Amino acid sequence: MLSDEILAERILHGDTAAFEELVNRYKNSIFHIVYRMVGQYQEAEDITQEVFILVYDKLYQFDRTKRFRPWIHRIAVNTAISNLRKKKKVVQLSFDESFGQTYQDYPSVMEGDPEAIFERKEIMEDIRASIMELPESYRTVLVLRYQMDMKNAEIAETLGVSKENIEVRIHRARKALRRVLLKRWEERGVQRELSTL
Amino acid sequence: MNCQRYDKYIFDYCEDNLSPALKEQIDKHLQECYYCKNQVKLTHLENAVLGDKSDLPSLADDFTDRVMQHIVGFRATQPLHSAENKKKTRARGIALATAAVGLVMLMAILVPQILPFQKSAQIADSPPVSSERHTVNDSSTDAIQNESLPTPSHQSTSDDYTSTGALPELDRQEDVAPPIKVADVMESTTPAVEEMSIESRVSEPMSTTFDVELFRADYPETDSYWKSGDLQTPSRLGSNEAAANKLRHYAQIPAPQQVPGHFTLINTVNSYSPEGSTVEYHYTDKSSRTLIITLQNLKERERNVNVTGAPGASGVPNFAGSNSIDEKLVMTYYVEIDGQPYQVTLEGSVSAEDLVDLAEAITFTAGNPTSH
Repeated sequence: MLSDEILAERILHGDTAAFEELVNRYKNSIFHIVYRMVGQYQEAEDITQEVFILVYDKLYQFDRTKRFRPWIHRIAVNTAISNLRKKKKVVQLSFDESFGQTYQDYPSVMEGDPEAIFERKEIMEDIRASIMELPESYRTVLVLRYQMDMKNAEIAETLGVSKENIEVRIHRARKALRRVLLKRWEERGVQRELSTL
Repeated sequence: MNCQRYDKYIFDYCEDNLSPALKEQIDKHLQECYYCKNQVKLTHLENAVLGDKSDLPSLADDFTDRVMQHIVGFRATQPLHSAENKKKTRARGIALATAAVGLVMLMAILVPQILPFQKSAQIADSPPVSSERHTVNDSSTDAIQNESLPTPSHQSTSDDYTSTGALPELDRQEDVAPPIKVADVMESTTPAVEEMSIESRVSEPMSTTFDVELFRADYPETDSYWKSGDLQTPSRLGSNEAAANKLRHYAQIPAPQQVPGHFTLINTVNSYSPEGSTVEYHYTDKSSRTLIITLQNLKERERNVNVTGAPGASGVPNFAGSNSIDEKLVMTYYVEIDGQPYQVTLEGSVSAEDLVDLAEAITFTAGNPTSH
C-alpha cells in the first residue's frame, strides 16, 4: 500500500485516483473528529467535505518531509473550529447525536437498581452537555485523546504544539469539564450521591 | 495521604497511568475516603462518555463520490488554482512582486539623477500625477527687484551667480523691450491681466504673492536621453513602436533657439505625463552654471491658456512668475508657437536678471536647438 505522502505527491502531479484513495483512508476519522466537535450529523458531513476540498486545494503547501496524517487532521480541527466560530453556535446536543448513547462497556451501568441506572444516565447526559460547553481548544484535545485514541505526542504533532503543552491542556480540560459539570448540578440544586453507581 | 494530595492523581489513577506503589497507596485511601471514591466514580463516568464511540454515525456511502465530483468541478472551473499549478502561480507572484520592488528601488536611485527638478519637487511636495499650483509668498520677488541693479553686491541669492555677474553675450534690452502682457494662466487665483513691461517688472514693486507653478520632478515616464540634443537619435527607445511614436511626438515640440553661446547643451530629457509631453534641455557653461529650459505642450493638458503676445514661430515670452528654489531660480512663462500653447520654464543657477534676459532672447522653433 502506498504511503499517504506518496499519494500526496501523485495528487500534486494530477493523479485524482490518488486523491480518491486518500479520501477513503481519512473520511471516517475526519468525520468523527468533526462530528464530535460540532455535534450535528449534516453539518459534520458538510464540513468533512469542505476539509477534503481544502486539502486538495492546499496540498501544495504540505511539507513532504513531515507526516501527512497530522497535517490532514489539523486541517479538520481548524475547519471545524472555524465553522463553529462563524456560526457562533452553541451546540445543543440531543440524545441521538454525539456523545449520546448508552455505555455498555461500563459494567455497572445497566445493572442493579433502576433508580441508580436512571441517575447514571442523567449524569452521563450532564457530562455530554458539559463537554460541549468546553472551550474549543479543550474540546479538541479531549476529542483527539479519547475519541481518536491519539497519544499526547501525536496530538502535539497534529496541533503543532509541544507534547508538554498537550499534557497540560488535557489536564486542564479535564478539570474544566469537572467544574462545568459541578456548576450545572449546583445551578439545578442537585446533590449527586455517586456511592450507589 | 490526604484528599488534596490525592486529587492531582485522580485522572491518572483512572487511566491506570500510575506506578504500582502509588496506585496501592491510593487504593488504600479510597477504602477510607468517601469523597475521593465519588471522585473516582465520576471520573470513570466521564471517561466512559469521552471515550464512547458506539454512537458515532457513519458517512453516507456516496460520500467519496460526492467529494470527487467536487474535485473534478474544482479543477474544471479553477485550473489555475489546482494543486499542481498553485506552486507555479505562487512563484510567479513572488517573482513579479520582487521585480516590482526592484523597479521601484531602481527608480528611487535613478530619478534624482536624471530629473532636474528634484529639489523643486521636494519643496513642492506635489502628488505624483500632476503638477500642483501653489500660491506662495515669493521671496524671489524681492530678489528680482534687488537684482535689477547689475552690481554684484545686489545679486545675493547665490554665491554662484553673484560672482558671474551679467551675461556678456546678451544684449540688454530693458530699454527697448516692448511691453508684454502678463498671461492669465493661473486660473481663479491669478490676478487680473495687466500690462507690464520688463522694465517695470524689474524696477517696480510687485505683489509679494505669486501664483507659481512648482514642477513635479517625478514624471511617470522618462523615455530617453539624447546627448548633443539630437531629437532624432534615440539612444534607449529600441524598436518599441509606442516609444517610437512618442519620439515623433516629442520631435514636434519646438526646440530653443538663440541660447547664449557660452551655454552648452549637455542633455535632453523627454518625459510624458497626463499633464502633457515635456522636453527639457539641460545646459551648462564653463563656470558650471546650469540652465534648464523646459517646454511643455499645453494643448495636451487641455488648459485654457490665455497666451498673449505676438504668435509665431519664435513666440514672445509672457512672464507668469518666478520662484527662488534653493540656489536656483525658476521662471515660468507661456508662449504660443504655430498656434500651439506651450509652457516654458527656465531654471538655472543664474541671476534673476539674467533669467529675464534669457527669456527675452530665447526663441523656439521646430527642429534642433541652436545657440548663437
